[in-house]
Amino acid sequence: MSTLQPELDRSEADTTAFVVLDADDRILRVGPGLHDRFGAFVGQVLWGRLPGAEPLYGPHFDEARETGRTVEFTVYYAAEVKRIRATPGAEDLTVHIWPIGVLDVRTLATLAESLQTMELELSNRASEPPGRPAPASPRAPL
Amino acid sequence: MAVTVEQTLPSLTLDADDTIVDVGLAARAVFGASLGESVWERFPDAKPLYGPHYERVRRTGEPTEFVQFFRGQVGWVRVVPDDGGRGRITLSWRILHVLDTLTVESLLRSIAEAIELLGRWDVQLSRQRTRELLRVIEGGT
Repeated sequence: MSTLQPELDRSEADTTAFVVLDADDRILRVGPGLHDRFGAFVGQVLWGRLPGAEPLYGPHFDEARETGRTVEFTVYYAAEVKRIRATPGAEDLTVHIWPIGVLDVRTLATLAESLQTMELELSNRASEPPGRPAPASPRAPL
Repeated sequence: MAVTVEQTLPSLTLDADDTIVDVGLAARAVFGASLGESVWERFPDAKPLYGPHYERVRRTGEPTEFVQFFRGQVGWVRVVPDDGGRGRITLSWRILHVLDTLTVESLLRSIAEAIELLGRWDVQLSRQRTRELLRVIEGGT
């Protein structure tokens, strides 16, 4: 994968790409869209599958649980920029994951271009009001 | 700093058309199935980075070595003209650095390390070429 994935708006997004977590971030259920990636790990703590991700995702998950409101954020992790939506339920948290782009490490030039796009993407998203749907954007190198 | 060419380094031999005609033992797991294929079919985006070095070795008949960033790795590559002639060259390589892309922090740190490594090797190889050139000049006088 070498270029930015076209961003998915809500109508196009894979709404089956989700995991449901308990209060200890243990995986309770996995949507079909993430079954290949997480299906085998139901019952395990999410962070065991995503080393180093807890400081990036965890505070947002905590915020969703504490406020009872859906929290959306954009994060870079494992060479991908992703849009995450954490929706609290009565006793669980549903986490949807929409990939936005993949870091292009083919050459120093593509890497530099990727970093610029990534920085722009992350800073744009950081300034968005929470819960705003992700707008569609043209394919571009990340 | 210098990489000693050992028999255990992975290696490939290319013919004049950059078709893979031999695969060293240490490279067989990865390249064994590519025997008979053009190396650029396997790595099309590598041609502008590596191709000029290969052409120079064929043109001059002199071995060369360089470091290159490609697909998230910094690799040292040595290219020598093959004894069989007819434009054949043998490449051997060693991975010096693999980009850590896990988090933004590790990525930025790793990129800085890669760039620093590339710079150090460029200086080292440049000095080495200068010394070789001086030896040639001294030998010629």
